[in-house]
Amino acid sequence: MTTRLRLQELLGPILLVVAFSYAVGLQSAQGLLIVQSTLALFVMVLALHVFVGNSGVLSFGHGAFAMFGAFASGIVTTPSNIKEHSLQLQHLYPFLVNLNLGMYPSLVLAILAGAIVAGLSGLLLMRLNGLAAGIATFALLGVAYNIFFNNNRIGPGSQALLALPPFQFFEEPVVLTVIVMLAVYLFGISRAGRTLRATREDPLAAPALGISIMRVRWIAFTLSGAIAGLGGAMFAHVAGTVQVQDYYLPYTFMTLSMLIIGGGASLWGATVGTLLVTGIGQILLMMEQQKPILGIVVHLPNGTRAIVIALSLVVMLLWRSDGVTKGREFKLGMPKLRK
Amino acid sequence: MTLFEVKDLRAGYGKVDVLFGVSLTASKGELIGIVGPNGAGKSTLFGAIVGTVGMRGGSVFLDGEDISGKRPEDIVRLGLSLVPEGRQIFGGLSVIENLTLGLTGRRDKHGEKGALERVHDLFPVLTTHRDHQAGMLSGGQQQQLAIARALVADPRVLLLDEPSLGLSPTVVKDVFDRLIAIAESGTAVVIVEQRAHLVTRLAERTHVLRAGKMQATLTKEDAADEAKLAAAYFGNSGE
Amino acid sequence: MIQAILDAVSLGGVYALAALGLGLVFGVMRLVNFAHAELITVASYTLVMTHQFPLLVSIIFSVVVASLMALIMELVAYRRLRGSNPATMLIVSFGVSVLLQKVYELVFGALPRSASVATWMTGAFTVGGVSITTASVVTIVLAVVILLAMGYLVERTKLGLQLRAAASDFQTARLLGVRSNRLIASAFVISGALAAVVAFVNVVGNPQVDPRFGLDITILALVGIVVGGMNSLRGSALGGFIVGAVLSLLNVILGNGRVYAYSWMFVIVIVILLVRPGGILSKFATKERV
Repeated sequence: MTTRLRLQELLGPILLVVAFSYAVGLQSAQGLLIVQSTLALFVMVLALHVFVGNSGVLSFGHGAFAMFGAFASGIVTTPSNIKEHSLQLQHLYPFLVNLNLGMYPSLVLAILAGAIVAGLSGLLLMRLNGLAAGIATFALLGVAYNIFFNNNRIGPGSQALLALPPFQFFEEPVVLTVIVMLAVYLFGISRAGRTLRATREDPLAAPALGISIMRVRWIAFTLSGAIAGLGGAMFAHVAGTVQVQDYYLPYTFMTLSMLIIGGGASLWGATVGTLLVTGIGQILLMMEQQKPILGIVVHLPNGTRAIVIALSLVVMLLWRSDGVTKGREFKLGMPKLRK
Repeated sequence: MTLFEVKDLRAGYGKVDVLFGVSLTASKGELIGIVGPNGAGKSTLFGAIVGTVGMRGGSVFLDGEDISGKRPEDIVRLGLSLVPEGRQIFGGLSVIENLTLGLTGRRDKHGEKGALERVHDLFPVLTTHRDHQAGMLSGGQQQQLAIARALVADPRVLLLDEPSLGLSPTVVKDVFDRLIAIAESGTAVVIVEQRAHLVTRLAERTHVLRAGKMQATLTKEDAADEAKLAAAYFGNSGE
Repeated sequence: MIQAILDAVSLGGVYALAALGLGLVFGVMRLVNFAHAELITVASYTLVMTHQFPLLVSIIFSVVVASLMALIMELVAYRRLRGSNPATMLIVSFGVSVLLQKVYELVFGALPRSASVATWMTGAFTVGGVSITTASVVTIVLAVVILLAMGYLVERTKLGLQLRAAASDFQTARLLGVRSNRLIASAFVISGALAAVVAFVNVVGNPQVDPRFGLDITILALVGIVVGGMNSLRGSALGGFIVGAVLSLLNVILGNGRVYAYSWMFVIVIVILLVRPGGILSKFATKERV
């Protein structure tokens, strides 16, 4: 294997993300919101890429890590006086009422929460074979949902946590995203990352090479749990609110679609998929709202957007199961001079 | 008259070509051998004939009808059965269930009883173990079951991929005796073997398949000549 | 107490039927059909929309609609994926599931549709001083009858033999003449019919049908087939039964804590899987198909 750091593979996606952020985000307040929520979703897609893309094992449970990240970060950044007085938080543990952290310490907490939950649940899940593990992750999501929905001592239960502090500066989520991209790329070319991809291509050969599939999968699962925790927290701060439903099946479906439509096996695929789905979603949203696109108003009934996204996932998988990028990394399309 | 003909067959997987134009014929009642080293493309050849491996060129004729590109389940109904490498019997099912599955590939549904009786005559041991789990049979018995399971479909052409694999010499002799009997009853039998000496003496003709091509064809008389056989098998360089 | 046991057995029976439907399709093509949920949902909508008809007619309608829907899924989407990696097929079925939910939303609206179906089942009767709900008894009878019928189909008929053979080695089954398209289509049709039975029992218990009606039971049944052992139909049905029965018992045992029944059930599932990672009935692993 000759995988090593190729700058263009890393810089290509980063430049695209940064360019998108500035081009769309500085236009209008609505553009800013689109950029911030896209970046928050993108971090989640990157989390999925680390595990699903590299190992080939599906996970429907990452919403659970995002949930833990979002609630951890949300509860410590909600001002104490709001926690004392809001109705949905009246049963909160007293120590949580008095605990107040800044945005960045809370994000660290979210990362830790995601990593710990993923690390612990991974100890069991990674013992199962790939397909059974994928299904069992549904249970993980279900349990997290069940706990957060019903327990009003650690959060608002089925209600929403309101008034989360937003990011102060435009650049903050952009920088966070770029850092995550760097981490994801470095993991991909690390020994563990390469080993994991080897097990994806041929799960039978790996044990013969003395590789413990369980161990490398667990490492990736934990790392991706940490990133999902961050993604969930970013999503919460961008929206200014957290509700357990926001991280359930539709969220799981949206982020998995982004990853798979782009091509789960590469950073480039995750990037392209996220931006593509966001773009299509926005255009359809404008159509549903009867806003003109390039001067033309196309009216679509409400709900079309969701159908088109689901349909494009299915069609994409039937047509090209490794995504638009075929799972390849970014490469400049210049013809090679040599040879 | 030629019953079965493979003409200039090419096949492969993904970007890799395995067979580069292989031809072969068999008439009613003939026993034909195909020998060659590991990786020569023997199993690919059978796979392409029965439709489990995609063909990339050439054609396969059964009694004058072009069957290339047909699906495996249709090919067996036209009268061509394969006993796959490693036998592939259903270990979790009983012997009789395995045989009943074999009946699926018959065109003539009236002859089912007769077909099972023929199996009983040819392989009495299977009748003894009729209701036992097939996975519990010995290797030789499993091979007999695999052959019987193909036979109950009344094939006009029977292909066998490495029937001697994992069997002791006495059992191998036993199995081959029955294959001769099957050929004598009018079925064209084509056997792929890595252990060349097992088939060369019995087969009407033995083809040597190496690197995806038929390198030589030997008759029974040629096979008696050890040197000639070795040269054909290993190539002229004697590598 | 007796009622609690009857409830557990009846819920277990329902989940066993759902898991069996999933297991049948998984057996023949290694597809974990997440969109089984939408088969249950469409059958439930059919029951609600046809409630003015005699019950039997209404049930037949729902069986036909769910089976047709299963067949269409196979023809339009899954057929192209034969032999693909199971993870790819699972995610496609997830997509199909969401797609159908959105279509149902467009057609039937996001709010629940309801109608009283088989009201005679909602009552209770007394045996030897113990009050027993009609629904639990009818459900158990229905589940037992259908499980027996499925047992007969799988163990004693030609179709069943082909299903078992295909589940352990599809390629060899085809070599013997098993018609793949027909067999897979049959598996889908049967799984659709089983989904309709599950739908019937659920609609009687809770006649509020919305686009996500079948989701919860399907997710639990999926976990059931992992617990029981994905490679055997008995394992699937047993796993489904365990999940349903445990959930029902937990609802009684936990009292006020019953909102966490779901979580506790998964704790039990985790313990089972720690002891037997391949599922309870994982004696022999069938080989992956090429």
